[in-house]
Amino acid sequence: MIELDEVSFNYGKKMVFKNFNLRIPHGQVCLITGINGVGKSTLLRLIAGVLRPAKGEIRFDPDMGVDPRAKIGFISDALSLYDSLTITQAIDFHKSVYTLPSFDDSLIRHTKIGRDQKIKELSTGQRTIFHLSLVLSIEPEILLIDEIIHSIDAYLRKIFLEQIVQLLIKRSVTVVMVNVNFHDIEHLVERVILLKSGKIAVDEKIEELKTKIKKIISGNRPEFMNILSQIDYSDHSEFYVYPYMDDLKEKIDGEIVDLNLTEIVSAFIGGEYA
Amino acid sequence: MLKKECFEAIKKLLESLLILVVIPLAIVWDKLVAHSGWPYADVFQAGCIATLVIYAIYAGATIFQPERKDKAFEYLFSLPLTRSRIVMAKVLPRFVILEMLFLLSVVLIGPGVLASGIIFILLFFGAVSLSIAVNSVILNLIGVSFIFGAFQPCCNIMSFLLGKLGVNFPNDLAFICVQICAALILLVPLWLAFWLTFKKLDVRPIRLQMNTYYFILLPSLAGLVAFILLFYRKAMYWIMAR
Repeated sequence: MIELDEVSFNYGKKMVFKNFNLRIPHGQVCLITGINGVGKSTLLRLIAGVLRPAKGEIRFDPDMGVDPRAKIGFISDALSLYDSLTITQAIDFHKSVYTLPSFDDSLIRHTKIGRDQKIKELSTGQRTIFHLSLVLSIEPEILLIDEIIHSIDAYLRKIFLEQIVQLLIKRSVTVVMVNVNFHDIEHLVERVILLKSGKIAVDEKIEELKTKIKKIISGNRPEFMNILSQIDYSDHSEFYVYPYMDDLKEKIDGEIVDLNLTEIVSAFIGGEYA
Repeated sequence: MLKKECFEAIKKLLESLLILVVIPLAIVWDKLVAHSGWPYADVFQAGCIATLVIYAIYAGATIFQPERKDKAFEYLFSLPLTRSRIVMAKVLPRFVILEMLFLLSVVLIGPGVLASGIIFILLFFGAVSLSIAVNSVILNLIGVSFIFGAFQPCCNIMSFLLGKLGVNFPNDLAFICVQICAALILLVPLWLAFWLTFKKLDVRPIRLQMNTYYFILLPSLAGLVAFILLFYRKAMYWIMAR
């Protein structure tokens, strides 16, 4: 369980969150979305403990121990590590901090990362996979994943997502992801949270959300529904409506299409820019 | 953590030891060009003390260098390590090496160096305290020079104040007490500023998190200047009269 209670946070004079509240139950897979700069990564950093709230409190399951960071795996967009260390040195350091008896390096071998290679010599993809192997080694109770997997190649992304899926199958882990909108994990996401101006604009279970957000392909604008965003083509337009009201279905002059997670996220973000 | 920091401390020691290259160069230069007749034992002594000073400042000033260079503060702060454990792991190996280097100098040069023991500690902890605010080693060196500059006046004032209080120590003990008191006057506000800032430090830009540091340091600096202005002249008269 992660609970943010009246959390306020600012970067200098820029207020990011003011009296922000959020509760993520144990074992839930949650997707945070929103436009750039809305505070998604800041939210992950607050949960990871690398940023401290100016006000309010962040609570975790009491069984996570005195220092919850011991059970939080955080893969940030910065992929922060000691770059000047070699892979072996970084693993030894990680093992000593978490007092790990062993370290499973199969993931590293998979991606052709040499044990004597320095971290600064790794590509973004290799670095992400190495970071993931460090995170998985601690058997996290909470996994926080920032947007980083979008910047790695298809093969490494597949490995990354497979590992996450395996972890979720094996154990009940709370996962908070930011803008990770891939088909591979779509069936895993249980809840979608849209952040807007430091507040939660949308907080829905994925099944409910799928019934509430639809794409209408039509030549006429459905004025009687709330349009989140729209894409215009020469002969028709695509209208993303939220909330979609089934009882007004008869009035719609066009095709109603269900959306997948990727499209839902795009629609919400598109709506922010509209 | 400790192992990694020991390795870092040894790296800094080896870099500082490069100064010793100057000793044979100075001897060769003297033999071939200057013919000053300067005793080589003095050159060696100066080299040893220079190494100690350089290591004390360099090791202290670069305490967060790996995190800054590798942008690893986020990783460090995400680890289940308390701030006191991080500081201990960083300070302890560097301090132990400084002390070992100091003892080696005592063995090599003689007990005369013992009198400067507190100064090396002052330089080291002064550099550590400044390292959070100052990224550059040169700027840190300038800051430490100010601390060192204030040390002697503080020593004089402390001997005056302890004398006025009627404290009568044997000479050597009095000397050490005065030095410790003067070092504490300088280091306590610096360490307080350092610790309270580091304790709450997160991955925001450091410049946004320096309020506590300057809130403690600037009034302390003003207080120190006032303290020196108030007592220094009286202390000097008192010392000369004795």
